[in-house]
Amino acid sequence: MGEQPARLADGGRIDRDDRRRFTFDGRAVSGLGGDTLASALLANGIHLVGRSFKLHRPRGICSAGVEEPNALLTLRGGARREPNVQATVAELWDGLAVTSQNRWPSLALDAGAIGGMLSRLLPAGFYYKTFMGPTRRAWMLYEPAIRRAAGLGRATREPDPDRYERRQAFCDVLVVGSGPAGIAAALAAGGAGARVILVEQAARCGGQLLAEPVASEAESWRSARLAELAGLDNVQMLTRTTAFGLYDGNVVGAVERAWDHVAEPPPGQPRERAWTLHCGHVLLATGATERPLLFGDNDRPGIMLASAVRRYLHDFAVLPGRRAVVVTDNDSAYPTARDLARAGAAVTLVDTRPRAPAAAGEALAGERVKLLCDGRVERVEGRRRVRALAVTHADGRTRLDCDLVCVAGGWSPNVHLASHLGGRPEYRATLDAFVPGALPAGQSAAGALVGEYATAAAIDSGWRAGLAAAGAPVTDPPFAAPATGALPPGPGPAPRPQPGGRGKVFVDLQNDVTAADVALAWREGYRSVEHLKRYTTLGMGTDQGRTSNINGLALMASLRGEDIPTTGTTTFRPPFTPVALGALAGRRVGRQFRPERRTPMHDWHAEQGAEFVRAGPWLRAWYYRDHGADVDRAYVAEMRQVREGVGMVDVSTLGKIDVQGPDAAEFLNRVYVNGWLKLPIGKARYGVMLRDDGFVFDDGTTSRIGEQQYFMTTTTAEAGPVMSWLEFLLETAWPELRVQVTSVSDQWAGIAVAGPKSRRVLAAALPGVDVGDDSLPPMGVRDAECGDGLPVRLLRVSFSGERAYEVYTPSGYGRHLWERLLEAGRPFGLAPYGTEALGGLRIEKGHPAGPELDGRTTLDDLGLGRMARDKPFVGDVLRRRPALTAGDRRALVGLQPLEAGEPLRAGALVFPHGQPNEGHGIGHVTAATWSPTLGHDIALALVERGPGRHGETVTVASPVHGEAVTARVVAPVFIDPDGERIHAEV
Amino acid sequence: MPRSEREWLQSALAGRYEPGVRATDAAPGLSLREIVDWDLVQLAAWRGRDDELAGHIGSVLGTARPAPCTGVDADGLELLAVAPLRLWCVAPAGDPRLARLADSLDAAVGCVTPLGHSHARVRIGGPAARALLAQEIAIDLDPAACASGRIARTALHHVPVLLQCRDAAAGVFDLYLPRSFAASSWEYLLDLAEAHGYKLHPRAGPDSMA
Repeated sequence: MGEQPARLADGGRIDRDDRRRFTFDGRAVSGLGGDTLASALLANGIHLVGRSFKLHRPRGICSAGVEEPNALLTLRGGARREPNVQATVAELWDGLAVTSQNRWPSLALDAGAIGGMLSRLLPAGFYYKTFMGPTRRAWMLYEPAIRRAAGLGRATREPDPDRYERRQAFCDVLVVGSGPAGIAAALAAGGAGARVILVEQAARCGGQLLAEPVASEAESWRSARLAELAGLDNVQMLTRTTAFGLYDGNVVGAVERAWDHVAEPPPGQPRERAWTLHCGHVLLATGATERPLLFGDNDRPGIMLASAVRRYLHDFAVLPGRRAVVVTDNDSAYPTARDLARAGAAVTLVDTRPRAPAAAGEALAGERVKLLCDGRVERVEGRRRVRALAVTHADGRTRLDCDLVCVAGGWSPNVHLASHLGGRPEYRATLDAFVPGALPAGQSAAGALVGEYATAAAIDSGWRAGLAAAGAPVTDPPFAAPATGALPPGPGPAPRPQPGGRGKVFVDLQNDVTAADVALAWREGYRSVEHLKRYTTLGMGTDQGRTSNINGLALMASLRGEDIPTTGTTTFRPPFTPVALGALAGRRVGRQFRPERRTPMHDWHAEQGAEFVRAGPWLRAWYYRDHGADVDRAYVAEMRQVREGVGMVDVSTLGKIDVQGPDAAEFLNRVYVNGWLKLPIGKARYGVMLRDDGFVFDDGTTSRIGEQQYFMTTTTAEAGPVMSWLEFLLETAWPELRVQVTSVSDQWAGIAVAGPKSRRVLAAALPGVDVGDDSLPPMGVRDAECGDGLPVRLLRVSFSGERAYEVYTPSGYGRHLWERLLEAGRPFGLAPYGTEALGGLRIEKGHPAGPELDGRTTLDDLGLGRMARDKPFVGDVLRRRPALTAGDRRALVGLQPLEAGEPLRAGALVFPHGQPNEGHGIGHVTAATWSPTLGHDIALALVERGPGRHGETVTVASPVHGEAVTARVVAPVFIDPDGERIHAEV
Repeated sequence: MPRSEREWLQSALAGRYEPGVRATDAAPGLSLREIVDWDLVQLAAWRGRDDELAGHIGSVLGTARPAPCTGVDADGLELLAVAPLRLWCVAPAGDPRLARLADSLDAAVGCVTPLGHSHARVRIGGPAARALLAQEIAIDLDPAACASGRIARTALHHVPVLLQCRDAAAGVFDLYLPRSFAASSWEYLLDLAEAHGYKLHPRAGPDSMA
């Protein structure tokens, strides 16, 4: 034990046979299995562990839990480096590398400490006042330096190598906290048959019972009850799990540090796991946190919370100091003084009250503890560790040599979760603390959280709350509460000691907020608690002000001359403790960040060297590398292939909807702007549908397959919204229509075969299927089966303007059909083409598509106004609004450059020629392409009074590229305006 | 299914399916299998005609329609009540009862939509099956809350899926994955499954257990 000079020979819940080596700032030290990093450091006599956020003051370990404001350290290295970990929470493992933060060049000699010497220049909000001038841009100059000087640790920039996981769970009763109240509550609810989940943020269950000696009645009680819980199949215990947020519907977010306590998680196992807990009842037994006292230089290393010191003594067998002074304003610190003395420390107890209550005095009976009443700390000596305390007391003034100061300023129930849904905590004067206010149905609280600090009372309240949560009759606990060495704070709060003494009086240790800062905020008018928080940063940071909120609030209340409840409290929001983003993401990272949709022919495209492009969740073949070295060369070759021979493209991504019913024609007639009542079986029709606000929603081809069956296709992008829209209309607007709509997008693979040789390819590929013009004229549709049984659905429709067919087959046969067409098309030079060529072909033909159907265009804007029939249809009323019929609306036109080599780009702005290219212009280019047919760039654009400008010259400017091209406004159909090519065949 | 159709047919999981054991421990926690050689047609009734649809099912299969959000097994043909007025009829490929159900439905009662190619179907079993599903699916899968035959339309990483509890006691579930998402969802499932260890069985028909 020579390596761990502060480790006691006996006691503790540590494994003395499990020696664990670690380094702190490069220094090799060791601890034991079961240690936290903080207990191991203290066991080695290390108190100075960090530098404060703003003033770079030396700081030590203050607490033993998540309230720790000081001991923030960087753990591990490389890709696993994690900053700002509380040493009081981190578990020790063999080989752990720990470094201190916010210091240079070393923790002991930190150049940043000069900030402390200049602290008069750095009051709360100093950067708002000092570094805002002389120019508006000055802050940009100062900010980096200020951020470097003030700060925490630095995260790694390397990818996180570990797994994280998400998990859903359901229970009848969730118990948060495994102190005496939580254990009793879980036993009660579990025993009543409820499905119970018990979450405990620490590695060991027990809460304040862990501050009791191992050889004690309390420990026996803890062990026995935990064994009972473990024996209940309906109780799930989650340790190392923090409930970080309580949300609507009794959903609780929790994060489990599943394998964060080892160097590397086992293969396949997550480092952390984010739980979403769906709870019938949430029972909060989150305990209370001890408050420090306010006096000058109360931040020196070696000054610790009294309750934490007792926990280190008994849970970890660590004696943090051998000459201890305990300063308290209540009874609860007396057991700490007693137990320190029994562990061999020289102890003086300074009670700020005029005299010790009888119960407290009894705790010290027969112990070697010197008691000073009516005490007040005047001065703290020691910089990197407390060396002495000067105190005044009833009998005068005394200088007390010490290496440990235990402070006890009362208790604050951990009301955070109880407040997450907006419930306001209530101040209870008898406790000098806030407790949960009225909780909604399905939530309850027990134990120290509701002010039941005594162990027996906590157990009793937990048991009763557990039974009630499970809906069972409430009875007395079946077990006796153990005798403990702890004392509750006392019957009522003592007068709050006024901050005083020499040196800075720190209220919020993590954010270097002093009592003077609170007073400054008050003088400057920041008197609301919320303003105080934001001006001084009191209560912010990783500890969320667990040790500082009430003290800061009391100071502000005193300055305002009000009581605490009148002054109010801040709002608690999730998360209760920091949550790693990785845990929230789970496995939704990298390739799995979002799901992908792949067509049945996807793997073929990949095998043949296709480059893919994302279209929403779809991956679509953009172009094929065999057709050109880059996209610009490849798509032009692919377009030419279609125009001059035959090509085929995977159109499986189109939305496909099965519309059936006796009223299906009437339904289509209402959702599309054009007429559908007379469409014969075996024919397809192009349709456009509007949103109910009159703007164009989507377009596509719908075919009549049977007497009351239609096959609707939509754009790829709007497939989902159109399906939802149709279902909505049938459920709400027209429930009387006998129509069923079903998405068959995934049922069918689709291939468009286009070009003057397309019919010959189909004839060769689909033996036994008549694809002649008589059988399948333009806009013809037929279901057929090849001679060998392959089922196909054929549509004679064209997006390119060429003779073209869409061939559908059930998805499982999609790749087979694709390869069959390729094989049959080989003599005709058939080649696949991608979406870039697909887009270029439709631009040449002037078909509006996604870039034009952008949710802001009307039928007339797109030149489709003549499609609308004189009948009711969705959007017909509101499309007649004046703003949608104004003559100066932007409407679809074509653009072609005056100089053939000049580029036109999508997104470019259109300006009147000869006028300054300023503002948004008179329109914008929606889509552009090189036209192999015409030998120059062409574009579609939406331009004010577009059709009226045909023949005008405009400037097409792309500020991003620094280009301005002179172009002529033309009709949007660049090739074959008479539509003859859909009949052409070679 | 004719031989030619078998040759043409390609699983949505093709290229991403390598049977074998992937586990660090001796006993993998999961048993996974793609179910093949099955077919699916949807029967849907017009509003107010669902009782007649039930009568049609009774006359063809001799079984009652399932309650909402449940399925019934009629000698290997499963009826799943996937939505109001809608039933999925799932059967081994070539089961003549599927054709009878479809062909003999009165058009005045409802309609038939073939959906046999629209989904991939994955069977998940083993002691960790519920834990695997609980990583993504916010449904209480405890046997008391999710009995055998229970079905649910839910989401797996944003993808709409149908979950069917085949055997609550043994913890066996079927997931119907939309075909276009199936490869991506499958890769995601296998990634999640690594934490439990898994045995991936060769593809098999609907009557095989995981």
